[in-house]
Amino acid sequence: MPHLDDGQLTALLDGELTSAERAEAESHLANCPACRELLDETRRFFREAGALVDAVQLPTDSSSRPAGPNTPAGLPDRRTAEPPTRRGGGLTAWRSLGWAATIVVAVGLGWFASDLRYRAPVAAPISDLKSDRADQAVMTAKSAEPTATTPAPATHPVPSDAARAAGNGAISRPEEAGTRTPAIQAPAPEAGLVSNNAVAKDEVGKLAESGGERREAAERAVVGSTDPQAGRPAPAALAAQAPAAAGAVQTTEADLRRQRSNVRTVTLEEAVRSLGGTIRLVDGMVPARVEVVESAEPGTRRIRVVYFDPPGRELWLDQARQLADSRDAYRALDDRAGLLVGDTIAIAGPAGRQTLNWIDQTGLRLGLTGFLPADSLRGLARRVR
Amino acid sequence: MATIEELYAQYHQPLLRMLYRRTGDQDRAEDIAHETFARAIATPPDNPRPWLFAVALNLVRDDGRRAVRQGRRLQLLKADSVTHAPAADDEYERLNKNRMVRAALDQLRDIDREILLLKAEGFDYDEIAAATGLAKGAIGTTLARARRRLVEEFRTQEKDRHAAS
Repeated sequence: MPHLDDGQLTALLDGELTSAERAEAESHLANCPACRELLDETRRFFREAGALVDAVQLPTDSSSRPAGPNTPAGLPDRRTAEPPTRRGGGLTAWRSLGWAATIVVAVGLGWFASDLRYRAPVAAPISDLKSDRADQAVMTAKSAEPTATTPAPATHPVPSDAARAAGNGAISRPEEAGTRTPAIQAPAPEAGLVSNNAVAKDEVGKLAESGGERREAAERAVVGSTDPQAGRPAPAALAAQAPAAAGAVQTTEADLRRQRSNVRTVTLEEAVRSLGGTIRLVDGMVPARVEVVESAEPGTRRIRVVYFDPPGRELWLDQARQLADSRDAYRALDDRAGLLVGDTIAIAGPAGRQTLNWIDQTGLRLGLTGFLPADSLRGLARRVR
Repeated sequence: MATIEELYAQYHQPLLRMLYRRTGDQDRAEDIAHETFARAIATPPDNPRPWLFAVALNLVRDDGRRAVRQGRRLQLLKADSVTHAPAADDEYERLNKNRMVRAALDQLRDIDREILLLKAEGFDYDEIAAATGLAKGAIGTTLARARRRLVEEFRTQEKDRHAAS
């Protein structure tokens, strides 16, 4: 057998030779001092290069040591591999620092203010959350029927989510506090419309008692939600929701349901296409679902990636790209908020709800909303990629 | 076929680590990892691990990413510059070694560097061949050359450092 070259010896160290090739190589090495010397040299480079590469770790993950791949395979003086240790979860890797200039604004101001009206959930223990979810499941079944009029518990975070999730085939409830289970599924055809209609008709039933303009607005919302254009509400229905932006109005379940009728769950793929080939996510967190939200401003449709924080409350990452036909609406919003690229605007909502809005370098409008202190939201915002 | 969430959970961290070793820039690595998964959504891969790493390495070479990266760094600099505490001696040494290793990696040929980094993430020769397009029979030789050059370049960096101090 001819001498072994460093490629063969490297393959031997990497465990890439077949058993026959390995036996042949070892037989040759037993009788060839020159090849043994080359093997020793190759092994030294193998170890040293592996240690050098392992030394380069992510600044936020410096404890992870993937020692295995750089360990010689099945050789007598194999390096003792340090067991891999890894810090738990990306949440611990939040880089704590402030961001650009922050402006604290009064309740309800901003682009996404129309979503701030509903009542804030109270952070509940796990047992209570489970109980809420059981209620949610019951409500889901009822809400999915066109004639259902069951009111939701007043303290429920977003009761119509369950109805939409059932209608759209999305399973998005947190199973346990701190657990983030990915559960984005493709919606069944037209299922979102059925669900939205059910919620909106229920809305009509409730509002009929109060009559007047509110009833009329709700009926328009039904018309909007039955728009054959993939559930997109008609402008009239959107206009009927515009007064909600004030945010100081006492929220009712009817308000909430009407508002949520303009939200539909979509697949991540659809959301990516909708935003022009890319979508922002919070690094280290697994989305529970993705929604398309039709806002009160015509033409300012946005994508919402929904997460759950450890206590099981929703965390929204809204994002919208300026469209040609909505430039004026966006400009008006930006002017009102004084928002420039690189700035962050913090909007305080009821019961500790906070929203951070900013514009990234690509012109994408982003909003992060959750029941977290503004500083915590800023930490999360830095992980938006 | 694995869902995108499963792919993300399984491969995001190794991909990010490889990209950081390749670029030396965590923000850029995260951007590219993000873009890689966005492409996986648009075109679900049959053989995800080599596919994800191959796409990520292609994106590293894509000059178009540079402009986005520079914009982001300008944005983050405002806060980063005031929040970093002075490093302790051992942390300084670690960062310095990190820098020297990355400098040594930068001296390697692209294919040598990529194969070395893929191997460090546990790729076998078949997967490396799938991700890089290199013939499987050439990988041993290429790895041997890459390891030797990395060590030699690192030693050169160390000598330069001692000479300068």
